[in-house]
Amino acid sequence: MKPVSFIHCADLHIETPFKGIVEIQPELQELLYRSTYQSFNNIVDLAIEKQVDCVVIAGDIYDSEDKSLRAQLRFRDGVVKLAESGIQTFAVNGNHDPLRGWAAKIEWPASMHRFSSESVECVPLLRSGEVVANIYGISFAKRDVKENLALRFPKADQNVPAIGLLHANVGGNTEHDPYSPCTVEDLSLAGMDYWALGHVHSYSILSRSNPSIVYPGCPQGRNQREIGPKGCCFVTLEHKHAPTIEFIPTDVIRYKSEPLDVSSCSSIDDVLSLITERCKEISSELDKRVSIIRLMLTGVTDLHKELQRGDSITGILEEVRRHFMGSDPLIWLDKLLLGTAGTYDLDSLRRGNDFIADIMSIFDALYDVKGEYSQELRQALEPLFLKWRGHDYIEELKDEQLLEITNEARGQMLNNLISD
Amino acid sequence: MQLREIHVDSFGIFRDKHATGISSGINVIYGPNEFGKSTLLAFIRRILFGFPDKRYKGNLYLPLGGGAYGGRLVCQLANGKAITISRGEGRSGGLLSIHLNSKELSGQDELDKLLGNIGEVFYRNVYAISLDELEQSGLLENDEEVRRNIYGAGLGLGTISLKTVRDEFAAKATAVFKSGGSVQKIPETYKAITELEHDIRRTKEGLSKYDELVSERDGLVEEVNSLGAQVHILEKKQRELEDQKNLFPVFAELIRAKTLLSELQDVPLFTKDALSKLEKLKTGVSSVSDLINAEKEEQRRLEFQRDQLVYDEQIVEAEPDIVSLQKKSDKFVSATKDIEQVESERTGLADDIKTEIGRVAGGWTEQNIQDFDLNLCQEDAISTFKRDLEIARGNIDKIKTKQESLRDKKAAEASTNFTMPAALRYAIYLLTTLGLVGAIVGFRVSQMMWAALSCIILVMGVALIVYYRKKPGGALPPDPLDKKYSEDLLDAESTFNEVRDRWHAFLSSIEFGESLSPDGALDMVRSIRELKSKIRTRDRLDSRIVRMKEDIKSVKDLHDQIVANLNKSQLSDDTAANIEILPKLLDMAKEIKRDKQGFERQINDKKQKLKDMESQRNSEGEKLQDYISSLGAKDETDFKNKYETFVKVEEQRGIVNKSKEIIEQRIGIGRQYDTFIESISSTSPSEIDSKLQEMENQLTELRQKLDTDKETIGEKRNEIQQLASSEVLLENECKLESEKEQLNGYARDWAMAQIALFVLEKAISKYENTRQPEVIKATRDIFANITDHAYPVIIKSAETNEIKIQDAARRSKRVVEMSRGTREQLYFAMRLGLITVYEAEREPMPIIMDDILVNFDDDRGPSAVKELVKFAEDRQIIILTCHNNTLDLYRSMGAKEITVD
Repeated sequence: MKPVSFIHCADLHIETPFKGIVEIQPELQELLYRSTYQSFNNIVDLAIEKQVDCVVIAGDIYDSEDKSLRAQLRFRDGVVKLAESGIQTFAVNGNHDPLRGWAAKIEWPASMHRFSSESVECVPLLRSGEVVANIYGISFAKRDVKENLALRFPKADQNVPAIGLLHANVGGNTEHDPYSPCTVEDLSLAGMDYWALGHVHSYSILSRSNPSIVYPGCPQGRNQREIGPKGCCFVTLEHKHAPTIEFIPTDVIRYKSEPLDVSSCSSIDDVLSLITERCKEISSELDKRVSIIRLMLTGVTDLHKELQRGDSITGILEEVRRHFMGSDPLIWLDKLLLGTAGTYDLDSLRRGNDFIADIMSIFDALYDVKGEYSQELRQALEPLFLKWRGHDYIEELKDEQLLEITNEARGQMLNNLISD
Repeated sequence: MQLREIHVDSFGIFRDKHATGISSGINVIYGPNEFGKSTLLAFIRRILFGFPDKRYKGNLYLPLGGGAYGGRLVCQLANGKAITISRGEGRSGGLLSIHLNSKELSGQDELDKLLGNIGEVFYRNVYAISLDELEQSGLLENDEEVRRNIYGAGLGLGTISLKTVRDEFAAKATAVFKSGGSVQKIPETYKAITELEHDIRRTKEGLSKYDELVSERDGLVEEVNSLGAQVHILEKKQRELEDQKNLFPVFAELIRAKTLLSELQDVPLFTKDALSKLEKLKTGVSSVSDLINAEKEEQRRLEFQRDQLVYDEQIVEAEPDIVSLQKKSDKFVSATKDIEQVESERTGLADDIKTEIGRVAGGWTEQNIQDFDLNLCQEDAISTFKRDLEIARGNIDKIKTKQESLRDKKAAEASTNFTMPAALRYAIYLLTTLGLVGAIVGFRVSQMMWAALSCIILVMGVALIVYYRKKPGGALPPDPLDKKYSEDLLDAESTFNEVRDRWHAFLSSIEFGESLSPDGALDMVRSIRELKSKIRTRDRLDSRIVRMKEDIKSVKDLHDQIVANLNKSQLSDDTAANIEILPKLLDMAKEIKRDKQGFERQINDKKQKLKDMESQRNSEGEKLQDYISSLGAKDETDFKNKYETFVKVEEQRGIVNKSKEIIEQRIGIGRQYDTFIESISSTSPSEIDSKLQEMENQLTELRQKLDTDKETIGEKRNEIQQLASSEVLLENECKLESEKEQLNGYARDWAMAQIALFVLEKAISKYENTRQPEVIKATRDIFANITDHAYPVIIKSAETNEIKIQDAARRSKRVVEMSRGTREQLYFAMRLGLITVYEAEREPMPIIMDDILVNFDDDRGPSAVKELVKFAEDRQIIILTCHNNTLDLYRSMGAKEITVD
């Protein structure tokens, strides 16, 4: 029998709002809005091009319980397109789009099967009327499923390839919520040939065969933490054989965040040129996708004070954005952070017997998070971070972040106190 | 560290200047105004801490007199070690070299260490600042500047205001967040966030309406369909009633027409076009009559024209003769013109012939000439005779010539006296020549034998020549050649004579004279031939003249014959002229005759045509009558009456048919038509109107309901479409994330500013609590001494940082309340106090002052100097002054005067 081929994708998060971007130009805004849907479209086109037997989606198709109507309709359009090409679709719901939430009453093609949350279902995959594989799956009923759903899967029928479809956190990945927690051993018990997982947004193969356990990752990164190529897996599966798994990028936007040393720059124009050149290089590195870039300027430079001036960074940022306006592919410098240091010698300042030495000593004391000033400083920050009515919207100030800000404050302080 | 020597290579106005012997304690450098005190002060600071780079906005003190920029200071450290600090032009503060004992050091770091890391700003503000600089900095203007400079001096901040720095951070923090505030960036962003969340909630609530909207829409669609069906039925009934209403007049007319038809008599034979046919036939008859009249008129016209044409028939009858005359006219004209000339030519020719006969062959007659004939053989014979005679004569001449030539030669030979043959003659010459040559050669080469022999030969040759030349003029022997020539001559002459005799015989045979030469004979033959030609020509002329005369006569006769029968009014007396006129007259007559004949033909045609037309008219009249009878009418009047009836019948029938057609078009044919007629027959217009009104009301009601439902469906569809395609939710969610990101950014900025303020406060407190008390204490004592204990107390508020002085009566004065002199004294005391505290654990540095005492009064001035002297006991102070009395004062206190040269 001809091997079964299918596209394995997950965590589509269609029409999710993008995080971490403060300003967006209209052109980029449109791209951002469309990107998750466009990446799903790319998956649909890929499935049709490869003439796969089916597409399996391992949860988090949408971004919230109350699924966006437009997202549902757009997802439905993609599924209809697959159906018109004779490709079946199998999907489970995840923690972001559990079955409990609202779903619009829209008609789905007969070839689309959404697994229920009550028990693990087994649905045959047909090719010209013949069963070529069995798909097993179960959805999330609610958002925070703490049960190990993997243990609910029955022993798979060994006569045809068995594919397990599950949204789960395997191995206690701390970067993701601990929903449907399980282990590789749990997954091995059910006798599947291939576990099509979802929940972790990075592509990874936990097990190559017996069984294959794969996270395809999300098809489109949505913030600076989701960097690198994003896409889906094209799988060719033959019963009792290790499958061939090919990761295929389908994303339209990629992120990059990195430091940029400007020590060699002697003027703001040099800084501008360096930033522009690096952005172009990054765009090439990101396979000519739309690039959303965040740079932290670092290094010791005479320009430190000038860069610290109120509108310098803003001006450079705007100039870079203006330079790349209309570029194809689009290059967007999202943020430009300042981490440079002046050409003064910190140790020399410490050794001085003057006020600046006192400043340095206090800052040094602040770097000790358990030091004498630490609690007092935290109290000084309470009016905003604790007592203000909107403080819930502000991220908790962890020690690491506090140290970063302290460092920044020291830099600004020294700039203000040390004359040219 | 203390200065010992100052060496300036080139710095500002100084070039190659030196000051040596500087020692501990107070050293005074005196110089008038513009001496360069500020330059010297700047030199010392810059050698110690570096030259500013070219971007420095202040005085760079570039060498005005040329030379290498820079110089050196020779110093002594507190540990007694000698150190020379040299600095020249170069990058990063200048080219620095440090000579410490015998070690070479480099780099500002090394020097800073040796200077105790005092820092340039601190040194400048505390140790080495001029009164002018103090004034320029505005130090003495107000309390804040004093404090700032004190802090600045001790803080090491230079001209940077701590208050300004603090205020800047405070402003940054306040711009972002203030407890209880609502217009800062954070509360505004928070407001935007809450509004967005509200919009998102509302939008999401709206989404759940999607299903509801879909159901409502479907329900309304069903209702619309049902209403639509009802409306359709009613509209159909309405249309039927409207048809009845609209068609009722037509129906009424139909009935009326049928009634009329039943009353009229039928005339079945008539057709619609009967009258037109009648008219047509009548028209046919009348048109033929019109044509007949026209033809008759035409005929009359032609006859009139014909009768107008008149011509002379005789001339026409004489046409052949005239044609013949015309043909001959050329000949006649030619003959008439040429005959005289020809006759003249003939006469001349005849005379010429006669003359020529007499010349050529005197005695011959014309007949002889005519009869003479020489055939080709005879002609050839003449040529042969001519040739032979010439040959014979030629031979004779040739022989004679040769003979004469021979004789001439002989004669010449005899005159030259040479009788030997030529060969012999040449041999003798050769011999003679050889002999001569041999003799010459022999004598030259001294060969006497040879020469003698050659002489002998020479003599012999000469002798022979002499011998043969000895017989002059003797008779020549007879020449055989000459004899031969003579014989040949005789033969040639004999031949000639023979030929000549034959020639003469020939001449006789052709009856020519014997004296004629062959050429002459030939000439004569030619002449005779010419004559014969002339005679022929003459005869031809004769014939031509005869012909000419005949032509002239015949033409004249013919002319006369023709003219005899004609009207002579148009003719001439001249035959030639008439020959021209007659053809023209003939042509004219013929043309008139042709025209007339043409008219005759036309007239005949007309007659025939009229005959045919008459016949046609009769035929048309019969047709008309037949037609009238065929339709059952007696005559035309009866016909018209019947036709009128027919028209009425047709009209009514037409109405009936038209009405039926209209009704059928609207209603339909067959059963539908019958049903309609049946129904309309049983109703009336008023009844129809009433029913229509009722139906209209019903329909209006239904339609209104339908429109409302459709509008609602449209609204529902729009709502559904908006929900389905709305980007508002996503847009708002993205904006929300963006605002949250912004909020966190502001929180970070606020935290940064707060940390900076926190640290600043802590540092100020530390500075005030740890360093400041020592300074104040040291300052207090000095100030009290300077002011002669007028102000024994100096107070610095810990809270406000304000400095006050207190007199003995505990009256406080703030800095702004002090006089300028007192402020300077306070600052002076604070400098010394600060130095005292600073140097507790640091490398002491040379203190450089200028005329700081200028504003001190006569009491406080000396007191200040005393304090200075005390202060300088284990230090070094260098005073720069341009006042002699200050110099004296310091000198009186034990100060050392230093010269710069």
